[in-house]
Amino acid sequence: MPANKSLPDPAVLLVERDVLVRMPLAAYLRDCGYTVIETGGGEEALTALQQDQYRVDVVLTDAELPGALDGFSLAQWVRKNRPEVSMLIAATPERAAAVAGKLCEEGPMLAKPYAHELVADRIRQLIASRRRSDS
Amino acid sequence: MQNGDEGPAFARYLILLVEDEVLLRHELAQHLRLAGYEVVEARNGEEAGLLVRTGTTAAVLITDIRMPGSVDGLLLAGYVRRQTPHTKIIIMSGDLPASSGVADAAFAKPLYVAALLAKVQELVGARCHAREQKLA
Repeated sequence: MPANKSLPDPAVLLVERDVLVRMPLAAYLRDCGYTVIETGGGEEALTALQQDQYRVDVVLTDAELPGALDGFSLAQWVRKNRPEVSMLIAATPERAAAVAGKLCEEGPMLAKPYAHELVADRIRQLIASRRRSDS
Repeated sequence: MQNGDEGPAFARYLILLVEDEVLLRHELAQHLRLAGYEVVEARNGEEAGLLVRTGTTAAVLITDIRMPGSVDGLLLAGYVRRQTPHTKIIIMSGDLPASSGVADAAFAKPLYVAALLAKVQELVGARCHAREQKLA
């Protein structure tokens, strides 16, 4: 992929504080054909999302992030300001149980540690679903 | 990937890019990838040091000097020079220090990306199959 070279690669904004988790996942997603913008926290992610020239199709974020902006706050910002962008929030099972209510509001959930194939599959599904709803 | 004289084959076209400003980091990384290089991104010296300690062996380290945290670019460059002596080192900064002798090259910010790419190619060689230009 992608099959049509005239289309830009779908873009994923990856928000993950641990470089040893972020780096291999970003490399895997690039191998799958995605453009990946790597960020380590909510503030960096916001900086990238506020750039009109950056295409972002999916934000994949850890629920727990350093700084004042966690994954859910980031998701709320995206929903309000970049509604065309799909959100994918990841958390450990313990964290997921604690925030189940919020997840109902903020969209798909992904368990950590990441299974790279599953992440790519969920991203592909989100992008396909968004394209169907836009057409 | 062909084996070179200066390091293991897997590292020949691998670049470790260390920059705390997310937009500049992404833009530089995209330019380097489009030129055919593999790029590992780090947000600061601590992240880069962790990557080196855990086995990332780059052909080129490109690092900002002034970064938040306890490891600035010069400290990182010295560490990389000791750990992987074959790694070429390029430093970049808004105000280049008088003494940047640990580096193989130095660039003042704002950067001229074409000049940086030319230096990388000079240090490690050009990739034969640069990707289609498709920057956002």
